[in-house]
Parts: sequence; structure tokens; C-alpha cells
Amino acid sequence: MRDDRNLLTRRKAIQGAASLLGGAIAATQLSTFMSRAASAAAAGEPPAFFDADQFALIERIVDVMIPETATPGAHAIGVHHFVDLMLAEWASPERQARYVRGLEQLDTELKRPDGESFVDLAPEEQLDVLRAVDAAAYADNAGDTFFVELKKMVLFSFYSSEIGATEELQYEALPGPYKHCMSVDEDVRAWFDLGFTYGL
Amino acid sequence: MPGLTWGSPMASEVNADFDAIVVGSGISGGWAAKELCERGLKVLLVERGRKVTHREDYVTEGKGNWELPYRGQIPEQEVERDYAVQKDCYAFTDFTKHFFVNDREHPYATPDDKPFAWIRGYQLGGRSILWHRQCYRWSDLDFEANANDGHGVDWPIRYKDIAPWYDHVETFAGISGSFEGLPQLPDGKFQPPFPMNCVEQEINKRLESSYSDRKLIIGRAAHLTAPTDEQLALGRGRCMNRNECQRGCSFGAYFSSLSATLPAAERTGNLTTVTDAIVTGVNFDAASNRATGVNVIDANSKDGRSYSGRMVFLCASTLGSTQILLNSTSEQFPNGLANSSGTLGQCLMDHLDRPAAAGIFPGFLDKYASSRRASGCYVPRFRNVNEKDERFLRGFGYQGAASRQSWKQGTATPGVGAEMKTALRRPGPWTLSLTGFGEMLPDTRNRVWLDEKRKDQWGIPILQIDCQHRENELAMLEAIEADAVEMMEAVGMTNIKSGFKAFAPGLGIHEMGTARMGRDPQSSVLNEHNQAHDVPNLFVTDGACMTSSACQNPSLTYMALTARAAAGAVEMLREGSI
Ligand SMILES: Cc1cc2nc3c(=O)[nH]c(=O)nc-3n(C[C@H](O)[C@H](O)[C@H](O)COP(=O)(O)OP(=O)(O)OC[C@H]3O[C@@H](n4cnc5c(N)ncnc54)[C@H](O)[C@@H]3O)c2cc1C
Repeated sequence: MRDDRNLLTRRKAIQGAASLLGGAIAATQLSTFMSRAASAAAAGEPPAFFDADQFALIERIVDVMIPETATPGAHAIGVHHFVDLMLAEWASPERQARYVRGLEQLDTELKRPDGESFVDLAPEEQLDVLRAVDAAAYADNAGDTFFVELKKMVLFSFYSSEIGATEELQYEALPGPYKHCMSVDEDVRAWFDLGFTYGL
Repeated sequence: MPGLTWGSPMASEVNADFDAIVVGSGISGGWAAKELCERGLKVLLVERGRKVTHREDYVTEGKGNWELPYRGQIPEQEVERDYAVQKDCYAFTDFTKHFFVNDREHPYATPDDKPFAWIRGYQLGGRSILWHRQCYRWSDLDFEANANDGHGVDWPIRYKDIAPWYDHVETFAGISGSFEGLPQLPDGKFQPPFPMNCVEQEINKRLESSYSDRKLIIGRAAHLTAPTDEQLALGRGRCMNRNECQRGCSFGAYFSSLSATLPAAERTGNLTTVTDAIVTGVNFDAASNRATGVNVIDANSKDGRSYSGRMVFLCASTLGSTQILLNSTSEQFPNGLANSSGTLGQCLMDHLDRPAAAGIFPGFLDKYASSRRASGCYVPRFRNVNEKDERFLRGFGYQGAASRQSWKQGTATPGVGAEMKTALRRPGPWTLSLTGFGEMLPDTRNRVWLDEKRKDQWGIPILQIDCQHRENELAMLEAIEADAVEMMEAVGMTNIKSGFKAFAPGLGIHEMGTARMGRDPQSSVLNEHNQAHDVPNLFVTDGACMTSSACQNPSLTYMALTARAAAGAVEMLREGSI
């Protein structure tokens, strides 16, 4: 199976349209095509739920957790804005409170031993620190941690986006006859998992 | 605006006498309307919910998650406020919520320590829009179960009585499936099966070599894989395997009232449909001992009106129909219409629905399958088939499928950064999960009645539901888990997880019983024709009629019983006996 069966995504269509207009497509026009989170990111809008410090922390975490590689990372597609939108409009007051408390604690856990804040560290150092916190969160006796809750949200936000589902992974809008046993190479991309629940 | 009315005769004639009134437009009501109309009767179909138009009203069909504001998630406060019960249904998401009831508007009551999840869809098409399309015949193992172990009363029919009607409804609805020759799960009139993927095939091979009585087969599902001329003429087409069916399907590839039975009924010219019309009771004339029609409240204006007809088919779903009967009181029937036996409301059943086990199937990492398939697989019942099990009566089957994990595995395993991202770009290991569906015994203590003190906004007394899993069910639940784990080990699976909580009754969404069929008018509400023992022109053909619950998904049996009852009723009408 070939791995490059990309449909012309809407984003590409938008990019195409934008370049035809000399890049001068207005943010309002754009937002009718793009998700609100993506347009918020594009416009550099302030967060709706988080305060500036919390948002800065979220922004760094999503960037380190799902960085740009050969494909776009979480930051480029505005995952931090989408998480903010989910907290502002989707989350219950209980979850909102859990996030506020959790982020405060996470900020402490993510500090370097000398007290330097996560957001001020160099990118490689941020990765090391995040990896340590992640490993601890999945340790056998860790119980339910806020970090895992946040990670679920970040992964959901990234992979359920159009880029996440259709470019990072693969998405068949109309699968057709079921192909029950395809031989695939190591570089086959996974299907976007279209489940009923995402366990946020 | 009074309830929307269309079809033929025209709206202005709606007060005319009808040959038959059908209450409810879900799987059962759609079949009743079709069969009665096709036999030449003028039928009024009364539906409490809104009109849903096939195709036009499938507002989320085909959308990607990213096209919904919260990618398919519903704001948590809205869920708690409006969908406190429906939220526990696996299929309840932002893609489908408009086909589920708002629990705040449709109250019922249960004892605090005995939750019962009443999962409902009030609209034209009922839950036929939402269902999972799994269709399995019952066999005499099921129809003889009560007689054999003494729980409940004997079914007044046997497999041979219903077999031709299974043929009939399968041929029209379109059921895909494989021929297996299993006595406990009779084969039917199948369209070609969906293929099993290579891992499912391998698992079946290993199961068959480890056990003489167990196998994994492809699910039998109401999907067109080779549409017939009749199906094409109704505007139905072949299944595209999107497996997003609960949002509605413009291809009409899965069976629903909207894609299949209602268009068939409409094209006869004999159908009149009213929506937003809540039936509160069936009118009864003691002198002639006949039902004369139904009382209706307009869901929006709350004005009352009535319709008259020569016979009434109740197809408002198991608990809907029983609620209507309980609320239809008269001097002759102070405890509910057709309830001289006193059994109306008793023996509520559901299926024990238990996520039994899940694990990894090693290997096959160079193989992949399409992203989606409209049916999973099935492990037919093997307990109490050939040998008697000492732990519990009756049996269970499993539903499940093998697939390779995707990004969600990232939430369950450590890892961050480019390493995680690169790993999640590739499909993960093959996994298989199995969910058990077990039979519940008919037990008179599991029952419903009306709470005369609490009424809904239309003034209808709300239903009280008191139902729980008892000894036999609890023993079976243990076996459902243990057998799944054992089979997974036998086929070489690893990382097997179990210990999942069983669901509260109701969440099997196969609620059945409460107006059972039986041979004896003293101990049952309906006879072998789904006809009320007490009131000859009153028929109940939805799940309320079920005398036992088997372990197979029941809707195909509702279809067959409804079609059979409709044919019988028309014959009686022609003979002048009703
Ligand atoms: C998510 C889901 C998955 C399912 N999967 C399967 C499956 O795989 N296989 C299977 O066999 N079954 C399945 N079921 C169950 C199946 O949907 C029901 O068994 C079936 O729809 C019952 O048909 P019915 O016509 O009796 O009731 P319904 O389809 O519920 O229709 C009843 C209709 O009556 C109307 N009504 C109710 N009260 C009144 C009143 N007072 N006046 C007028 N109208 C009224 C309702 O609005 C509704 O339209 C599933 C259900 C759900 C929700």
C-alpha cells in the first residue's frame, strides 16, 4: 500500500486560495474555513480560559510533547489554542478546577532542580524534564495523575485535527469494500481511530 | 402547529377511520406499517417524536471530527444536565446526540440502588437510526428455554413458526452474514458477509483447534453488500464501510425505518403519518370488547385529540408500549388494558452487557486492514448448548473485532517528543476485545409500573422501573469474563486485561418483556399472534411481547414477529373475527 495517498485537504485548498490572493486573505474569511483554534493561533489571540502563565506552560508542553518533525507539530496547528477552547467551552467546572490545580503543580514538578522554570529552559532540556515527568506518571504506583489527563487532551487535540487525522495519520472518508489483509511496509501510516469515545 | 402530517390520504382526512393504527415508527412500527399497507389496509402511523427526513436530516453524516466544534465531544455540563442517562450509551456523541432523548424532558424513576438505563430515541425512525444492526436468529434452544427450566412461561411459538418470517424480513431488510450451520444460531437469507481480517481468521482457526464448540464468525448485520432490485428500487445502495451508521446513512445501506420500511409503506399510497403526536392511551369499548383507537397529545401544543381505527398495533418499544397499556384504564381494565392476567409490567429483561476482556494478538505486523468495517465479529453461544453448565442456566455470546491500535495507545503508554510522535504514526499491535451478551431470566420481580403521583410535562404518569441482575445473571457475568480470558490465552494472546465493570441493566439496549406472549390468558398478555388475549383487535409486536430474552440481539426477532402478526391480523380482519 502506498503511504502518500493524501487527498487534497481543505487546508491545502485554503493555502492555495490564500496564495492566489497574494496571501492577503482576511482572518475572518479564513476562520470560516479553518477551525476556530487554528484561526485563533493564526491571529495570535489571547487565551479564553488560561491565564498568560498557564497558557505559556501549555504552549511549551504541546510543542515539546508533539514537536515538528518531517510533519507539522502540535504547536504549528494550534493545539494549545484548541486545549484552551476545550477548557473554556467544553470542560465542566470540576475539570476546569482540576486543570488550574494540576497546572500549578505540574509547573513545580517541571522546574529544574535549581528552580529554573520549564518555559525558560532550552528545548532539549525541556524534553528531558518532560520525559522524566511522563515516566513517573506511568510508573506502576502513580495512580491517576493530572499529567496523563493533560497528555490525553493534547494527543486528542492533535490527532483529531484535520492535519492530525489526514496527514499525520490516514483517514478514509469512504472506505468502500473492506480490505481484510493488506501487506504493508514499515512506513505505513496508522488510520485515524474513529472511535465513539476518546477517554478524556 | 398540529403534528406534521403527510402521506395519503391528505391531512384534512386524518380524522377518517383507519383500518389500523400503528403506534411508533421504530424497527417494529416501520415493519407493521409496511406489512399492513402492503396488504391493502389504510394505516395511520403515530409517532411521538419529530419528523426526520432520510438524508436531509443526517446533519453530521460524513463529517470529520475536526468539523465539529469539540471534535465529537459534548460539553460536559450539557451532558450532565440533559443526558444523565443517555450519556452511558456507547454511541452517544456530538455526532449522534440529536437522535437520543433529552433525559430532563423524559423522566422515569428507579430505586436509588437499582439503576436502569433507558436508552431511547424519540423521532420518526426511533432507534432504527441508532442501532448497531447486529441480527441473529433465535432457535428452539431459545424458544424452549422457559419450558425446559421452568423460568417464565412457555413461548406459544417455536422456531418453525417464525422461520418463514425470518426469511421474509431478512430478504427485505438485507442481512449480510456467513453460513455456519450452527443449530443454536440458524443461518438465514444472507447477502455476502463482510470479510474477517487475517488476524480474526487466525484467531478462529486457533479457537477451532482448541475447542470443539467455539468459533469466531463475522457478525450478521443489516447492511447491503449485494443490494437486490427491490432494495435498489427503494433508493438503497451498497455499504461503504464508513461504520458511522448512527449518524444516518444517505446510501440507505443499513436497514432503518427511514431507509427501508417507511418508503415501502408510503409507496402503497395507504400510509398516513403523524409526528409529534404522543399516544397516551388506547381507547376501549367494553360493549364490543374492542380497542377503538388512540388518544394523542400534541408534543408541542399539548392539545389532545384522538384517532379511531379498526385495530391497534402497539410498537412504541418495550417500555413505551407497556406504559401506554398501563395508562389505558377503564372499568373493565382498572390496572391497564388487556391486563386481566395482572402480568403487565412484569419480567423486564435486558442483555447482560459486559466488556469481558481485551488483549494483544502478537505478530501479523506486516498486515493491515481497511480502517473501518460496518460489522464486528461474533462468538456464538457455547454454554448450555450440548452440555449442562452447573453454574448457571442459559447462555451468552460475544461480540468483538481485531484491529491494530492507533494514536490512542499513546495515552496508555509512556513517551513524549519526536520518538512518541514517530511511533504513533505507525499502526500498533493487533488487539482483540470481546464483549459478552448474556441472557437474563424472566423474573416477575423485575418489573415496571406507573407512578400516579409523578407526571411528565404532558401529564402522563411516569414509569417506575425496578430491575436488577440476580443470582443467575451474576454467575453468568463471571463466566463471561473467565471464558473470554481463557479463550484469549488459548489463541496465544498477551497483555490480557479483564475485570471491567458489567453494565447496569438497560445498557444492553435490548430491554424486553413486560407484556409477554404465552399460551395461557391467566399468565400472559398476548397470544401466539401477538394479539391481546383480552382484546382481539389489539396487537403488541415490539420487545414488550418477549417471553424470554435469549442472548442474541433481539431486533430481527421483533421484525419477524411484527410481520407475522400483521399478516395474521389482516387475515382475521378479512375473516371478520376482529
Ligand atoms: C446504540 C444502539 C445499538 C443497538 N444495537 C442493536 C443491535 O446491534 N441489534 C439489535 O437487535 N438491536 C440493537 N439495538 C436495539 C434496537 O434499536 C431496538 O431493539 C429496536 O429499535 C426496537 O424497535 P422498536 O420499534 O420496538 O422501538 P424503537 O426503535 O425504540 O421505536 C419506538 C418508537 O416509538 C415511539 N414512541 C414511543 N412512545 C410513544 C408514544 N407514547 N406515542 C407515539 N410514539 C411513541 C418512539 O418515539 C420511537 O420512534 C440498539 C440500540 C441502540 C440505541
